Amino acid sequence: MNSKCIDCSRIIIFTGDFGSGKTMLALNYARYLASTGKHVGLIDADSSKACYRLRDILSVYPHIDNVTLLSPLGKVADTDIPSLSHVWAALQSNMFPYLVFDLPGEYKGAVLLKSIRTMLKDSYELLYVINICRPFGGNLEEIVAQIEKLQYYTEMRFTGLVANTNLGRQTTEDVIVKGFAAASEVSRVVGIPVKLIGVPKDIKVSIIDWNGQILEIFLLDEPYWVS
Amino acid sequence: MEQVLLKGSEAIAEGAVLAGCRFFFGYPITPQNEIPEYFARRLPQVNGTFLQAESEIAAINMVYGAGGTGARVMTSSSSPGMSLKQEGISYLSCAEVPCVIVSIMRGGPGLGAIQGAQPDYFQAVKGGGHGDYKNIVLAPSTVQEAADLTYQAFDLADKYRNPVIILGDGILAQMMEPIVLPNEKQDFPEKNWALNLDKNRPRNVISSSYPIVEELEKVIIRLNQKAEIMKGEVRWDTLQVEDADYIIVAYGTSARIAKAVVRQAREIGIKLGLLRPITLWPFPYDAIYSLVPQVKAFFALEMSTGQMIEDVKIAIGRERPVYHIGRYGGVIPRVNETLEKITAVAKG
Repeated sequence: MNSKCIDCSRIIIFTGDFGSGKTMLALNYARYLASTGKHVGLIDADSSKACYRLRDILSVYPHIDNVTLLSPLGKVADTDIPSLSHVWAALQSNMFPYLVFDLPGEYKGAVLLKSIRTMLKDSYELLYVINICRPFGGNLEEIVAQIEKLQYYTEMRFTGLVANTNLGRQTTEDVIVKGFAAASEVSRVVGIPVKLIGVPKDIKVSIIDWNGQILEIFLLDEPYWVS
Repeated sequence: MEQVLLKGSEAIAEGAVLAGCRFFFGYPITPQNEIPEYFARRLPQVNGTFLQAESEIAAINMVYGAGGTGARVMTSSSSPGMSLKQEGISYLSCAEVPCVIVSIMRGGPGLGAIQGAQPDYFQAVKGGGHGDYKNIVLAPSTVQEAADLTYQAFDLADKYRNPVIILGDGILAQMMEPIVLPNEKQDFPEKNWALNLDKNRPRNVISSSYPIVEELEKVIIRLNQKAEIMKGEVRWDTLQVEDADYIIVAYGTSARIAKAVVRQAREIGIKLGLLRPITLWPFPYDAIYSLVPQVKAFFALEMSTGQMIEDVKIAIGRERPVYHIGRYGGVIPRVNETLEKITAVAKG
């Protein structure tokens, strides 16, 4: 079993089902790491969802010191063509003490992971994000089946789970507590520890018997392009 | 009721499943791929059929077949793909086969760009395919509405034996909001016109081919009479129109921006109201016209160079000026730039 410390690893990869919150977790984890003074390479490897990728969000997000976005450049940046040369370049480089990955959801992320698996030479955290308010994420069997499917396909093992249950702006403490309980149940079945809880900013949560990391998520004004 | 966190495209797909849709035929295109992806996972759970066709043209014709048997059926696509489906949509409309067609608009013309835009209003509302026909067009503005309107679209399609179009854009399709889903539909209308294996009735024929022109004319007249009845389904929403000196007309994603514009305009003393068409066909002409006496000018905010604005102009004639505001190709109009244009008119 891995230790609970995520930032003991140089490479931190958020993966999981579509819409589980990987992009916002990656962005906010990078923000957290950067706040410790370390330079973070934040890798936008999502080619699928137009309008809400890291490259789109960061263009309207307040500037974050010590975080460098690594994403496709030029014409290809605005397309849905899976351009991955920036991912490979980042993995070959020693420029950044930390690399945080935002992968696309489900099978699209799995395909990408498989293609970079042998390049992950440094220690890494491969985190599976769980939001039980999402479709197909609501029951234990479905989540476990999904985790096992992705592990089987990528021939990799997740090192941690992220309890990221939320309803966007309408998240309550109750929603988060329920989501953590569900993630803990998944953890018992698959033998992978819960390592992180995502909590939207300004929500106070106290979870008994939990001494792991809670990550504050800064939500975008919704819709972000209105402001 | 329990809330779930859904993307607009997922809400459309789940709304369809809950309305009894058990058949989906489509071909992938960004930014609506989450619709077929959702159906691919969801339909097997309810003994439905998801099929990725070899093309958009094949998919719309599979809709023709499934709808002809009386099944609740859907297809979805985005701008260039919707262009390919138009011949089939014309056939479906003439043959009066109920179905729901989802058009998630992106930047055009041509291959354009994958970002959300609204340049296919004419395509959805004014025909798109060949011949005289009308389809009901519903324009959701929130993820909740995406689920609700799709759910209701199946009932409208059955009620009038007519295709119903859901017109959204890439922003609405990708956006996530918590929503409450409608209940699973239990009772479905009888379809005595459908093609099935019932040997105890006269033979049913579904066709859009009428080679004798007098017969075709009769069909067109009947379809046109049906269109007049369908006009009773007109729907719209308003925000702060009661005391408004100026009205912004906007649908779908643009209406979300318009809401923020109304709020900010009122902060600087401009009495702005919003009229949001929910049905684009039928268009709420009367609702807009009823505002003419109190209003100094109208604005049409749309992510196109001006398509819906033509219907706004039909509604009010030349009685008041109508100004177009918009950005194109996938660029999103910002609240401040929209407000600046309105302020320039309001302050003369």
